[in-house]
Amino acid sequence: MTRLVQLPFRTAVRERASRWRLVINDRVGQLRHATQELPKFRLPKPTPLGIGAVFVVLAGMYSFGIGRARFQANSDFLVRQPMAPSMVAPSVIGTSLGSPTMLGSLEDGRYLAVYLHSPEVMARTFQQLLAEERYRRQGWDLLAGLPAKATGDQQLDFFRRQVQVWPQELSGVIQLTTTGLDAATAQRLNQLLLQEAKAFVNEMNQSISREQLRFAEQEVERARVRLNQATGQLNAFQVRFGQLDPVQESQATSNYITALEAKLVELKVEEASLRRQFRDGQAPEVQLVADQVEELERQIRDERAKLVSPAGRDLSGRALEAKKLQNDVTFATQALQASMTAVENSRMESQRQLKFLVMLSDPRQPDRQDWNWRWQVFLGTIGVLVALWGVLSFVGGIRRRT
Amino acid sequence: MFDSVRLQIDIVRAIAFREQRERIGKSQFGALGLLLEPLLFVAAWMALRIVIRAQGSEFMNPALQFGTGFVLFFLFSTIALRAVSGVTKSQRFAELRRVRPLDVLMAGALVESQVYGTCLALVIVAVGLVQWQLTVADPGQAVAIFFLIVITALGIGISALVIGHRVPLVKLFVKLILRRVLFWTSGLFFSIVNIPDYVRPLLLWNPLLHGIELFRHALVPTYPIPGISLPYLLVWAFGSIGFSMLVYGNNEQLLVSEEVSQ
Repeated sequence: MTRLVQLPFRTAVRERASRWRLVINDRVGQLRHATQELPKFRLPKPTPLGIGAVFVVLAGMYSFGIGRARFQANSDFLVRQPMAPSMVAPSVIGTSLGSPTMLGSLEDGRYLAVYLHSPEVMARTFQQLLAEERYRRQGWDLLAGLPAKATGDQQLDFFRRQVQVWPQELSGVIQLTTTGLDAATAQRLNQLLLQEAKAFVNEMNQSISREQLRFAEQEVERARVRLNQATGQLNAFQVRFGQLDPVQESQATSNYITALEAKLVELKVEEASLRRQFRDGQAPEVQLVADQVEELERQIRDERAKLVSPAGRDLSGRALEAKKLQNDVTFATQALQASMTAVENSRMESQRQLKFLVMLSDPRQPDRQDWNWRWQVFLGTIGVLVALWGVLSFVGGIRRRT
Repeated sequence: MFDSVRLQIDIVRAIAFREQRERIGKSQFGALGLLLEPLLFVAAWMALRIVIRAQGSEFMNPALQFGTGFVLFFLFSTIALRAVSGVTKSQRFAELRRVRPLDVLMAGALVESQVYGTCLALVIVAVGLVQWQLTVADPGQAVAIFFLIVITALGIGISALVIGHRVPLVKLFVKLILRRVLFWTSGLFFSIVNIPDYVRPLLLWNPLLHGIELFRHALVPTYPIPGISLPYLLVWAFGSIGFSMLVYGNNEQLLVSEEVSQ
């Protein structure tokens, strides 16, 4: 029953749907026809000039429209020593190279340029500056500022782009330029970096001279210990053998032996003359002198043996050892003197080489934004396009030929 | 107005294309030779300079310093010498009334700037690859100075050509200066900083020295340039081209030389 009722309804719906379809098709056909009669809109064919123009327009839009204002703060300073170091050797082109003070400042400026771009400096200054807040990206400009949740590398890259340290080769003046998205940030960053530079110059020099002084003082202590040891050994030696000076003693013994030998020669001459006077060789006069000669010879032999043999007093061996100990003492004394001079020198050096940061111009808050970068981006784009056009048309010409 | 400018540009480009084809035909290495020959020439001089004194400047990469110096010098001297030599009959397109001798000179300058500009780009990119850091601080300024050098060369060349027709000695003299004097005084082998104070003012008369040093300064902003000024180069560029246009207007036919150019 229900089926019978529904059937006509279904067919009615179908009929109506097909009628609508016809109507829609008809309308679409009319529209198609109408659009075919209209002039067709086509994208212009890309020509080199057109592509270049698009780039120039984009660069112009960015640099003079979208790009946020950047502010720059500048400061100039010099690193100086109170006393100028000794003159460098004059060269053929001498005068153009400048004074030693300037060269020293230039050298320090080069170190500073590296130091001020280091991650530690970035970490400290960004923390004090609340950089994530001040350099946050805003508005349409997607190139300026620090992206939210920037990684460490991104932060460092960004920091290095904001800070420029230029040691001037001719004057030795170090120029520090900082960039910020508002005037106060640029100035504040510059001030913070100047503080870092001052701390660096002082810390570097003081730590070097401290290190030198410490080393020299260690050397003095070591030399003193060595001198004490050497003196102690010499003393112990003298106490052990009950002698003040073995060298002199052995000298004295030698002299004694020489005297005995002279005496021996005299007695031998006397003995010979007595033997000529008396027929009997066994006469008491002769025998007396002969006995004396014999005794003297024994004495000399004994003394000689004592002088050198280890069993005896071994004077020459002891003299040698005493000489060695004496040398040790002399050497240690000289070393102590030298190291004490070094301490004195390094203390003086550490005072002499203290360096100071001399401010030539303090950073001031810029009144108006920096326009340089806008022109640089715009003209740089044109320049790159012209260079590209030159090279590409040249290569294109070759390709057409070949 | 636009059409005539367009026509002028098209004419110069057409002659430049023809000349480029001609030069490729003449070159031993074909299309590659067009770049290779000046590059090898520059490389030979550069090698000589670096070998003789095995150190460069402390202010920038020595290869970059000498490379820019030599390429810019040869760019200048080639364009100026070609302009001084004038237009030969074979180049003149006598059958085409619209083509003036100046068009041929401009086309020549265009081809030379393309050749040497490509060389320069290759040198800069090569040094950038070696250092792993491309050193072009201010591309806009670099390109502008490149064109100022080209304009100065063209201006000096055309002026010398026209005056040389009246006073032949001038032509000889200018050629001598372009070939020899400028070679030694344009900062190819040195930077102006290393020149003693009592010689520097003499060298600073040379506009090409200003151009080369300014170009280096545009690449590396810390490169010191005492006494070098952009206005001086600008005055030379526009002064010389203005003067040459002035004398060219009255002496156009003189520009066609009878003999084959040397």
